[in-house]
Amino acid sequence: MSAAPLTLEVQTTDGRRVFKPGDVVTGTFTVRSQDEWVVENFTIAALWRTEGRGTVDQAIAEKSIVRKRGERVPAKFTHPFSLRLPPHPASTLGTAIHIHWIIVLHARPKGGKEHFHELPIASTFQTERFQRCFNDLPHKDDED
Amino acid sequence: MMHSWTLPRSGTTPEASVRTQGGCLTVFGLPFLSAGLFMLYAMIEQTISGKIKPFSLLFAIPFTGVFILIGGWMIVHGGRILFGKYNPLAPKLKVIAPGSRPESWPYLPKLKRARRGPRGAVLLPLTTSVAAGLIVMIVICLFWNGIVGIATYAILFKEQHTPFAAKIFLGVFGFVGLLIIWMVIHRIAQLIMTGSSEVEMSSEPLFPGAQAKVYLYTQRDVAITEVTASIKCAEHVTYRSGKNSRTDHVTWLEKSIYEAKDLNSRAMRHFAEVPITIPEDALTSFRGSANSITWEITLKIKVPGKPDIDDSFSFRVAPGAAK
Repeated sequence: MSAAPLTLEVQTTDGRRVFKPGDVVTGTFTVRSQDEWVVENFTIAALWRTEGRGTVDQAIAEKSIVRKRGERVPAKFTHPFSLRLPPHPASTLGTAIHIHWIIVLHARPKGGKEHFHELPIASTFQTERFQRCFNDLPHKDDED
Repeated sequence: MMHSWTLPRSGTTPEASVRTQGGCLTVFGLPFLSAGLFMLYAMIEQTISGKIKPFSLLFAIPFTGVFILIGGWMIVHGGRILFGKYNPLAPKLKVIAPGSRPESWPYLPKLKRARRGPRGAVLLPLTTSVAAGLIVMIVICLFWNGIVGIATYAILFKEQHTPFAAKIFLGVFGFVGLLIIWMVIHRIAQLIMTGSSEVEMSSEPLFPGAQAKVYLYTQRDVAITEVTASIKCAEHVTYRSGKNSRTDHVTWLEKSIYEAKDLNSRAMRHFAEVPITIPEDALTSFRGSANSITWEITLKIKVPGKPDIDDSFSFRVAPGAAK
C-alpha cells in the first residue's frame, strides 16, 4: 500500500474544451501511482471560479464521487466521467470579472497529501470567441 | 484577450483569513453596541429624572437604534464566521436542474417584484427602491443632525467660553446637515409632485443578440421638456485593500437608446416605445458574493418647476441563444 505521489490526468472526449451551458461534458481521467492505494477522497467535479480584481467567488456545479473512502484503487486507474454543465453562470471575459469553468479531479490517498488536476473548459454560447482563446493560449494545467 | 488559466489550488482556500475577518467584525461591533445601549440608557435616565424633556426620546431612540443595530449585526455576523461553519470562500455545491427556469438559478440576480404593466409586458423594478432609499436618507439625516444638534445645544447654551475655531468647525458640520435635510425634502417633494417613472420590457430576461421593445412611462401626467434613456452594463468587484474592503464599478457598456429635447407639451402617461438590441458578445448578468454583473435602463426626465426624475431600472441578460 502506498502514499506515494499520484499523477492525475483528465481528458475530454475528442479534446473538446468549449461547451454550451446545459451540455454534458464527457471524457476520461487517469490516475497513476507506484502501487495500489486506499481512498481518503476521490472526486471529479465541474466548478466555476471568478478571476480578476475582486475576491474569488466559486461554486461546484456538479460533483461525482469516483470511489468511496476506504476503497482500493489500482496503480493505473482509468475511468470515464460525465458532468452536466448548468445553464448559468456562463464563461465570461469582462473587463474586471472573468468567470472560468474547470473540471477538477481531486484524489487524496489515506495518509497522503491532496492531489488536484484542473482542466479549464468554457461554458458559453459564444463558442467561436472562446474557441479562439483556447487555440491562441498555451494552457498551463495545474498539477501537483 | 490574454488571460491566465493558472488557477489557485482548492487546498489553499484562505479559511484562516476569513475567520480573522469574523473576529475583527465582532471586536468592532462590541463598542458600537455598547455605545448605543449606553446612550439609550443615559437618555432614559435623564428623562425620568426630569433633566431633559420626554420629547427628546423621539430623536434619541432612532439615533441610538442605529448604533445598536449596526453593532448587533457586526457581532452576530462576525460570530457566524468565527465560530460557525460559514466560510464564504469555500466552494459550495449548488446543482441546477436541467430545464429549470432562470428564477431558480442561484447566481442570476433576482428581479424584485416583477409584474405585468399596462402594455402586458414586464414592468421592471427600480434598481433602488424608493421607500428604501428614502428611509436610508432619513436615517442618515437623523443620525447626522442628531449629533450636530446635540453639539450645537451644548456649545451655544451650556458652554460659556467656546473657541471661535470650534464654532467654525461645527458650522461646517451644520451646513452638511442642512444639505442632507434639503436632499430629504427634495426627494419627498419629487415623490409628491412628479412621482417616479416606469419602464416596461417586452420580455425578460433577455439574451445576447436579442431584440426587445421598451416602453417608457411617467407615473403621473407631468409637463416634461427633455427625456433621455440609456442602457448600461456594469461589473462590480469587491476586494480587500489593506484593512478595508473596496468595491470598484466598471462600466462595460453604456449606450443611449432614446433622446427627446425641447418637448413643450403635457406628456401622456405613456410617452415612448423604444427598440433595444443586446450585443452578441454581451456579458450575462451574474451575482456572486464579491463579484456581480448588472444591466439597467436609466431614465432622466426634466420637469420644469418641479424636481427632475432620475430613475434606474434593473433587468437581466441570461446566457442563451437569441430566438
